[in-house]
Amino acid sequence: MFKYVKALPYPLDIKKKNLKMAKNIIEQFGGANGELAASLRYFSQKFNMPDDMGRALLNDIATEEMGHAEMVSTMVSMLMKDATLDEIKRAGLDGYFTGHGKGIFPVDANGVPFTAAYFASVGDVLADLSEDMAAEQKARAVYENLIELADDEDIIAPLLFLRQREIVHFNRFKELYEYYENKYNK
Amino acid sequence: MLFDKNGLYMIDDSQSYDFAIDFINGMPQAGNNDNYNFKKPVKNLKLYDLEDALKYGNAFPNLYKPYKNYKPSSLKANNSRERALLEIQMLEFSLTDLNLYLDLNPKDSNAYQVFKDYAKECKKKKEEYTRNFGPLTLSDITDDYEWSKGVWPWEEGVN
Repeated sequence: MFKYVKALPYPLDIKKKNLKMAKNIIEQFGGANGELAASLRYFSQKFNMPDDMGRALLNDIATEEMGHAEMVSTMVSMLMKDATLDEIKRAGLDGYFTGHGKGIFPVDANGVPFTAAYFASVGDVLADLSEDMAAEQKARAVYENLIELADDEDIIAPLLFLRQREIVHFNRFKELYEYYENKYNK
Repeated sequence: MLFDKNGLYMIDDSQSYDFAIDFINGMPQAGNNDNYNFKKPVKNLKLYDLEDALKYGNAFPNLYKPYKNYKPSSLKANNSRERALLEIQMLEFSLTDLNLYLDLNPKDSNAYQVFKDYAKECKKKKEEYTRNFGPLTLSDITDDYEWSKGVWPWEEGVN
């Protein structure tokens, strides 16, 4: 069951709008290596896990990622707040504005919409966990790319936080992969 | 970092804690007089304290990997509600991160003891937050219906 806590995982303090960064950061909401893909990937895979460790870890990381999806969307929303049409056009967001106004919709940095094709759930424990490890590394790399593009501390701080979460998740999936590889002697 | 042969963190048996009254970002902790110490070192397990864990995005020092020369920023809170919420966010974060560890190491009773301590404090802080600022979950009860009111996390300002 899912319940909601009226708080973000990490305190955001976005003081200045930045539409170019909003356009880039939305990648981690609707993009191939973003938080929505991560959450749905682990959510889908959890049903096929063979024991408590896999069931719990997949479930709990899926839950955490949904909170991250909210955090990323919040960043985008805050960075676009009070944007003028002129600012929107100059940031190359007029295409996005056409379909979504100043609302939020899951797309990547180029406006390509989210698809379940971004993740896999193969029903094979080692394959699924390998996918998970790759996903976390890719997400980490994308956050590093975003950090490179940013120059506002209010934006960099939460990106560093989200990047670090990917590193921890990678490590947990790796531990579980090695444990299962050993246990089932594949 | 210290692992035993089963891959579990080595237990440090020293039991002494410093229960110094502490501040977050130079501001007194909101609301209560208990002054829970968010900078308390976790002696039985190699963990960052509650404030550093949220700041770094990682409760486990051995897994922490900085990015180039970037230093994590101090945690922001601009008013008493945000300060109270920040205390809860610190506790929730370490609970989340510890829980992922416990998912894979369910027999680590030292880690679970830390989890229990944090959970107890988090519950207390949430009850206080609800009294002062409104509910954080649907089951936090107030005199009048307040769930839909107040600042939602994606609205303006620090959340």
